Amino acid sequence: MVDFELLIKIIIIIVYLGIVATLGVVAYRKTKTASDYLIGGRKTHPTVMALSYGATFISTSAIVGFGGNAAVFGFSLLWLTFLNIFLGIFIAFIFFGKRTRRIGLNLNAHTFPEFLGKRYQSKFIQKFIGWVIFIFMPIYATAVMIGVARILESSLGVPYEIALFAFSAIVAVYVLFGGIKGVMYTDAFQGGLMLIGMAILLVTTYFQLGGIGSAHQQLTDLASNPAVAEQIKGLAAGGFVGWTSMPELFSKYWWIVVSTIVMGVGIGVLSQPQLVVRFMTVNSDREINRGVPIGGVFILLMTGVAFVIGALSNVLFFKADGLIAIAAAQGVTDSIIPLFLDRFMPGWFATVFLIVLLAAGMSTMSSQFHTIGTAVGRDIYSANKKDSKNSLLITRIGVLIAIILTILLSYILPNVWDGAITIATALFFGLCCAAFLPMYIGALYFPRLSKTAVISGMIAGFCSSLLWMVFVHSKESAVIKLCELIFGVPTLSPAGSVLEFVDPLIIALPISVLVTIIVQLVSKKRYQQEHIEKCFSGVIQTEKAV
Amino acid sequence: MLGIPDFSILAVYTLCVLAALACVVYGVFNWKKGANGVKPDLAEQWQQTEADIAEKLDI
Repeated sequence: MVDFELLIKIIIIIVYLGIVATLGVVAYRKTKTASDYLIGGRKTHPTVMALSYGATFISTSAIVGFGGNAAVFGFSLLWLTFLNIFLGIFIAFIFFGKRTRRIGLNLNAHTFPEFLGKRYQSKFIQKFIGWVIFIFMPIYATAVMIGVARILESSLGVPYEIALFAFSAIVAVYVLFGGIKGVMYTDAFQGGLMLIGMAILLVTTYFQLGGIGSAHQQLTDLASNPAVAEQIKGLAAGGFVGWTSMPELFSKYWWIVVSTIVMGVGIGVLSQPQLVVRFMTVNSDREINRGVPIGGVFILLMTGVAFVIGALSNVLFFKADGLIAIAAAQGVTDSIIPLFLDRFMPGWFATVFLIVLLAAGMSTMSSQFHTIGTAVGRDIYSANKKDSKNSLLITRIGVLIAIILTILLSYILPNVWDGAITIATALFFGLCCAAFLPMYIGALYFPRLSKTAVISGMIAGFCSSLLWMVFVHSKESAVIKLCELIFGVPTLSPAGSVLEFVDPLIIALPISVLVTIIVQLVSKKRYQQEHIEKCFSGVIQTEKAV
Repeated sequence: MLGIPDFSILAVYTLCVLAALACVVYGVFNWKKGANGVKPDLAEQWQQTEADIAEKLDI
């Protein structure tokens, strides 16, 4: 007998892919010649820019992976939503975006590595950041790919490996047939879909639980229900107090929530290469001003809803099966949201949401591979060459390697990490933040900062972050196994200490900042007035800046 | 209040909504500000290079 529900899901997926492909083709035709490209070029509509920024920023990983974490840790993850809106939109657009746009234009910079490379007159900086993107961004792309594969697994009832293979094929075709061209317009379409889906999800869930206050109260009461005492015993040992409370101060879970999830991703967003370039695509500050409200509401409806729903899923799972969410998902954090949608949402909505999550995944991945492509073709390969015939080939090979690496990691990582999505995302965000944030802020606000100081800070931030991952932060060190090989222990953190749960960012970012400041104080080199004037033309008065 | 006993959680729940509202208010008050674009020659140069990159790298 034909499974009509499955058939309808597959038809809707094909229709959705058709629309995305059509948009891609239209965007491609529109930008076929250089002169056509110019028309669409920097005159991007603020709604398109903000939705595209949002859809790139928030992906399936945020909804599925971090939503699953909210089912475990509760509303404490809302601190990440707050940082996402306040730092990721408000501060990023107003204080970072406007200057990035002007300085980027003054320097004719087109990628994040090129922006910093030209601002500091250093090919090394450009290439170094290009390499970091090429090597480490596939880890972030993996987070997104796992999220989508988990959703397909649950929704279509197929094994994870099959879901992964199917989505990999879609992504590969999408990328190879020009899906990463005209990224902004398809992103904006997908961002619109995500908005509608999440709004429906929020209303439906609160309605099912009798309203906002009632839903929260049921969640609060659940933690003290004797029927779940046995199930939350392990969580309580780690510092879990309840889903509507912060974990116990300085406990294992407090460090995971605050240092890895909230700080790592919340601050890390400020120096994300694929997001920073968005600011350079608009024509004036007005577009950035107009993007702020769209971005703010978008993020609230994405991560805010995902975290609230993730936590509340415990109540619905308990009512239905007498189990909390993580127990219902058999201990797999990344499977909680897909299972929740399948169990408690109407069949039609689960299908719509499947598309929403596919859209979220595709939009982020297209931007990730676009960023990897430009990092390889413009920053690593042709940073020294004005005209390079091999750029195209090198770029394609680079993107292909990145895709293969992403697929391999998506196959391996779920077997070694529970909550692989969150760990992989936080790893990339944290690394970018520690290595690039101080020099990025310096590029925008400190004309006197020397090349030596920022390179020292970048290397110090990058190395300390990696060293902490390899030898102390047990989530990574236990998997990498280098610590075990050299010292015979999975982590150098003393037994019983919470040090192994402290995110690398908490250590590496202050080191990066300190090294930058110290080297700046001792180094004598300064930029020429001409260069500073060129960079900051239209931004600040530069006579006394250097 | 709102079924949330922990003040810090209640605070962040409210802060999320307020932060989004602040974004909306900022947008409304600055809707027409900052319209001055950049120097036309700089914009043209930037667009030309962007088009070249797209053509050369096919992305």
